[in-house]
Amino acid sequence: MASNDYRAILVADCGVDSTRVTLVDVVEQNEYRLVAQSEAATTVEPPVSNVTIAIQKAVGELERSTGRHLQEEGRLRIPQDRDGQGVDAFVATCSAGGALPILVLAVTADITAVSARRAAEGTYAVPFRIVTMEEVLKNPPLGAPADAGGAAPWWRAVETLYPGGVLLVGGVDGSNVAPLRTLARALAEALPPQAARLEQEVARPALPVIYAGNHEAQEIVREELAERADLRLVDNVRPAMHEEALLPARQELTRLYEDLIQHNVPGYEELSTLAHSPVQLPYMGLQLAARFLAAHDQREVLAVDLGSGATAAVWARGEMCPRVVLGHLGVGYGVARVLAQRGVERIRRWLPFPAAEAEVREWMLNRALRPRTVSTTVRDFLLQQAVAREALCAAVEKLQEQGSAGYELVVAAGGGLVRAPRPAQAVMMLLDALQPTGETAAGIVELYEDRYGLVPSVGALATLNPDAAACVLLQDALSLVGPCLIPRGRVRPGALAVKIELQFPNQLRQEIEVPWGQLVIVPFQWGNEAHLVVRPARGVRLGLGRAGELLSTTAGEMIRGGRVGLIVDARGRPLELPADDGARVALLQAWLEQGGAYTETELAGVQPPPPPPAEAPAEPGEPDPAHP
Amino acid sequence: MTVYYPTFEPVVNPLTMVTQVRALPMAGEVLKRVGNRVEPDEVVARTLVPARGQRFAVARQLALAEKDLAAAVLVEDGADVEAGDVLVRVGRLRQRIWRAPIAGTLSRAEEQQGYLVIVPDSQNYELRVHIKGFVAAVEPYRSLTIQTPAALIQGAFGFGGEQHGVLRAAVTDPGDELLPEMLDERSALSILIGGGPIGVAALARAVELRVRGLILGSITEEALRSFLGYHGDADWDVGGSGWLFPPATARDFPLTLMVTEGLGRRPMNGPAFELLTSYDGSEAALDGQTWLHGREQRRPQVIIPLTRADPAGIPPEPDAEQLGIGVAVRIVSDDLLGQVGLIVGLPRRMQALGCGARYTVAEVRLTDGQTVPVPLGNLEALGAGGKGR
Repeated sequence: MASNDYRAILVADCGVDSTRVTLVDVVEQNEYRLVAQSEAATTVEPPVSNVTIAIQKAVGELERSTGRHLQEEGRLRIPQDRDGQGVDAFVATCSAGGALPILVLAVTADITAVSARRAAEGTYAVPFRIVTMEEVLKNPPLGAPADAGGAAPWWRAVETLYPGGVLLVGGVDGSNVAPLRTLARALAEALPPQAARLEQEVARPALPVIYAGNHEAQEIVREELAERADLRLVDNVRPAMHEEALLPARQELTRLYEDLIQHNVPGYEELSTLAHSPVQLPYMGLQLAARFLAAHDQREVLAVDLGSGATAAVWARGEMCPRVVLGHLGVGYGVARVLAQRGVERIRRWLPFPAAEAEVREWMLNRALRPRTVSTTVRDFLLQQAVAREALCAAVEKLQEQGSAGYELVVAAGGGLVRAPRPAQAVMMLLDALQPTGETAAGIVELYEDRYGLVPSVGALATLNPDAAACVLLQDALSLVGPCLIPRGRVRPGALAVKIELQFPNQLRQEIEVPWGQLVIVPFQWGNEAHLVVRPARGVRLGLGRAGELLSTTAGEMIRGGRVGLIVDARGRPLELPADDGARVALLQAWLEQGGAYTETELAGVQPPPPPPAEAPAEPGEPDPAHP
Repeated sequence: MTVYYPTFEPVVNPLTMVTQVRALPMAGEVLKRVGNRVEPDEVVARTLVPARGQRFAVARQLALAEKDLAAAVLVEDGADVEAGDVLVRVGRLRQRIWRAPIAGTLSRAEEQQGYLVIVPDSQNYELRVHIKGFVAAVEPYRSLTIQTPAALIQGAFGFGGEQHGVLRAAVTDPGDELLPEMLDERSALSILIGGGPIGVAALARAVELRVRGLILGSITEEALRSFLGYHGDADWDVGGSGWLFPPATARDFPLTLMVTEGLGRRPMNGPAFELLTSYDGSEAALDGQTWLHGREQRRPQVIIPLTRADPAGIPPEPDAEQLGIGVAVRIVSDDLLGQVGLIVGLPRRMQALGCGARYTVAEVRLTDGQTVPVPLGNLEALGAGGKGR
């Protein structure tokens, strides 16, 4: 069947937490649109241990909601028949296996180790430890005491690294090869000796080692490691001092991820067989969507995806499209890693209520113990959203290392953002974490939400039918939350920052004054359009303009309203949070109320959870809930 | 019986059939047959486990070129050597020698790279069980399946390997903190039941008294961090290189710990406390190992064998895939953690909670009579079986 014959397409996105199934079909005027969607808990873990079972369950729900028969005896009905029963194709994305731990072994901590980390952080590889020559020489594998005290020696991590791999880097091309020989020799000594005959019964597969360092040292590394490890040679991540080449290492890491993690996801073979195109990784869909939007709209795009077990960020401008993928860093399965990497103080700084460090740590670790629990109180959501801010900060900081710059369009994907009870809460997370400056010609940043979780799936859909992917992305996936203006400068708090005028097509005008230090939401709903004129105060700039220079849409051009409205963030850049806990809490509360994220009543009512009451013994004759 | 999360398999089960598969790391001899009884600490199978060869950088130690090592080795490949044996001799007038640091079998497979490998003798490995029960199945040379009617309680997390001992209630209320003065010589070799949190001093006292295990409702992060020797937030890197919780606790611990509720200051949930203390003085097996995700996923558990219970009296396993009306549940939401109740409704439509979020919920009637909507993901099922002894 030719790709343009695929009308009804079922798209599955198998995450670490939940599996979402979307039915896309051709509706009027030959347009592909989202028809229905459902979700089920992912089933890769025992006792089910089969990723396709969750898909079956979710498809069962789709059948109930659409009235279509999509399955027969547990199998998809393919192709679709004349009555509209069944589907024509099935595609999938899968990140249910989690990430791949990688040990980085580098000559020095700067330059090549940084490039190695960036290479790993563009895939689902987690560089959990970076070991340099200094540490190797201090703790050689042979002759070192079994317990060096303090942190476990680096070679202990190599011994227990399964599934996982080593990324060995060092030296620009043509530089001294001796350090690479030392590193390769040390790694060889850390690997178990050749298996004796009896040991083969319990021997693991050889440890994968990707060498992405000085090209001149490839032969030396091969001599030291080829017989002891599964050695893979790729081009140098840092071929010259000021040149970085991450793609070859990333491609090899992705291959390794597919070999060690993806193919070992229970039920993955079945999933691959069912799918009409290779199963994709979700961050590929995010990157594809960002590149497409950048080309389609001729704008710079920042796309972020905050999930339970991973956080990804992509920036797109023309041909440039750097990306960051932080595996095992998220708001559910990845919450403990956020604590480990960012520290409790960074998370606490976003809380609009007094909270001791211990309280925040315990909340996060309890969430790590039960990652599929959901937030049910305002306090829960405030804590979760503080974690979300730090996960986003981590991703964006690393993206900026790769040269990302300003953007005019933000796409927010992932449950950590779009499942907030109010879209204004997602806006606050984005503004606080990304701190957009609006330094572009337009001076406005448009915020979009991926309400239906379609952006990661766009990549899979595009492999089958690019037109369908584009249609679904533009028509269904992206929901405009609102245009955002970011005045910048130094003005006395409370003094006028900008005067805004919205001129509607029906000649109505709306004028708003925004004081410095505040966040203002101007009602400007989705479906409305208006001509915008902004007059900044002296000392205040917008976009690429000078201080005090007018910003306006050009003749015939309009800005569009969104679900939240026109967002004016006059809090200054960078955001400054008071060191004093009381002052900071008060300021954060004010901002959240101004942004419409929470009401004063909700924030005032945030209390630590009370201890459960002592259970009263059941009265005689009364059913005891604990013992039905 | 497999133990897994998250599903709706009961986390507090007064009577169920526990099934444990005990497997040898390599083919060996299984000492029991189907139908045999087994007792805690009994050896049920044995084998020889090869030791990992130890590599020695002999050429480097003797300041010898790697290519010259082969000619200097005095012993054949595969020969048995004793610690102290001279294996390498270099030079005539000023000889340098290298003695075997350990006994084992010499491997010259890496001598071209300048190394000698000595593979210590295989070690005897004895497979033990930690629960009283019956052998239900045997895989020749490989494994046994042990079954026993038992009470079973799963925890949120723990650490430490399998232990068995006598259960002793160290507190009388599930909210009582376990204090050092509550531990004495009678606590030795037992598995203590605590209630609410425990402090560092009490943990140290438990170690000192050789307590085998602790079952608690909660523990503060501060106390846990201190006991484990963590230095800061960076030590909480769960998911970095594995899903062991707490991280880097694969080493041996002087005792095994299981926490039923989580971190903080929480009482143990009533059904678990009541069930455990009702078996005060009975034998139990405790396993604290916790992996949060992946194929090794497991939660800590305590098993109280009830070998006199009639297997026919064991209620059928409830549906672990979904909850039904009348099922007893425990709430794991942060605000209601540990509270128990009965499901009295399962609305099909999603409901909005006070925080504004919409979820598929169960209506749960709590012990105080209040009915609250709770998202399904925030519920754990409790067992419905009767008590047996």
